[in-house]
Amino acid sequence: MLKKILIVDDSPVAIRILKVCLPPELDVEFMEAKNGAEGLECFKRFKPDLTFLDLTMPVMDGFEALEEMLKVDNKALVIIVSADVQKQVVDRVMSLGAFLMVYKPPSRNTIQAAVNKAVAKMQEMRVS
Amino acid sequence: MTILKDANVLFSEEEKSILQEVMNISFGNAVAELAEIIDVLIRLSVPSVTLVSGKDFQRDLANKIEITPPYNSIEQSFSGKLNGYVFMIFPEGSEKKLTALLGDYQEHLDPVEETRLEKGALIEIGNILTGACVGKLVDVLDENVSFTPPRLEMASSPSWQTPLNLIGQESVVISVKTEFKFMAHDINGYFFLITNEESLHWFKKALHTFMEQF
Repeated sequence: MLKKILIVDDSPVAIRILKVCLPPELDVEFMEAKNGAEGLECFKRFKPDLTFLDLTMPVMDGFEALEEMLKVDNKALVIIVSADVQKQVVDRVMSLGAFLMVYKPPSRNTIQAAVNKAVAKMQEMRVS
Repeated sequence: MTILKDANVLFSEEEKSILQEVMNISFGNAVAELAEIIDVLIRLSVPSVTLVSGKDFQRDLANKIEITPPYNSIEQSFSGKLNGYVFMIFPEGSEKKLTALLGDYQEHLDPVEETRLEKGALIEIGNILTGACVGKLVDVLDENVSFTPPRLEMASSPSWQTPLNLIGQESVVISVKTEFKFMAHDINGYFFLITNEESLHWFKKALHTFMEQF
């Protein structure tokens, strides 16, 4: 069911950490982008089932990218992965429509739990 | 300014990238701690990591600060396996806004008391951010450091002589810069972390150990 994952982060190290934390049994196609603008273009083209999005990025930050992605597809599942753990930031991204927020550095457990929730949500959306 | 030709040998692009991510995590946690206390939203830039020679460090620092002097510089050194110096730079005038944010602002104070409160606000906010950031940094890298008390310099051109004495002219300096903005309060500033060549070997090893867990 989960076939395509987009990861948007300016840090290649953060992308590497995230990929390591993903469930090893996942058989998915990945696409990576290094800022919000590039991420948005990839999102339109690649049509991911799930997107992991950083917030603090050059060119276009994650807040704007999230808003734009949800304008393209208001059912998109976007998980924010950020070191910016201020309560106002968490509140803002959730009110913008993020599916979940995970704090950096992520752990295998938090990422695997997030993926499981996303898969469950996809099944729920398919049924309804 | 001397460009360090062998900078990549001392600290590879990959190591810079790991440090950038670890600093991003550390400063993110630090501003969340401050935001809990003063209920503000703080916007952060992507941290940048550069290597400069000790003799160029003062000029390099001044070049990276895109606000007009004079500024307030809150400075603190730390020591342990990682030795270094942190600076929090705020433009002149921010001390009044920061005092108000901490709830210490009072009308009709005599100038001496007003200055005392403003200096206190700068030092307090600098202390929270630098302590939390460096604390998180060494925590992520499984180490600890001790701090000197924060020191405030309000000058048109800070000399940064104390950190230079700590680093030494011949040393290589790792300089990490993050810009931050207190949203809705028109306060922006810079955070710098610098460390000397002696700490570099420990730093490199600690960054690789951090990555090994993934």
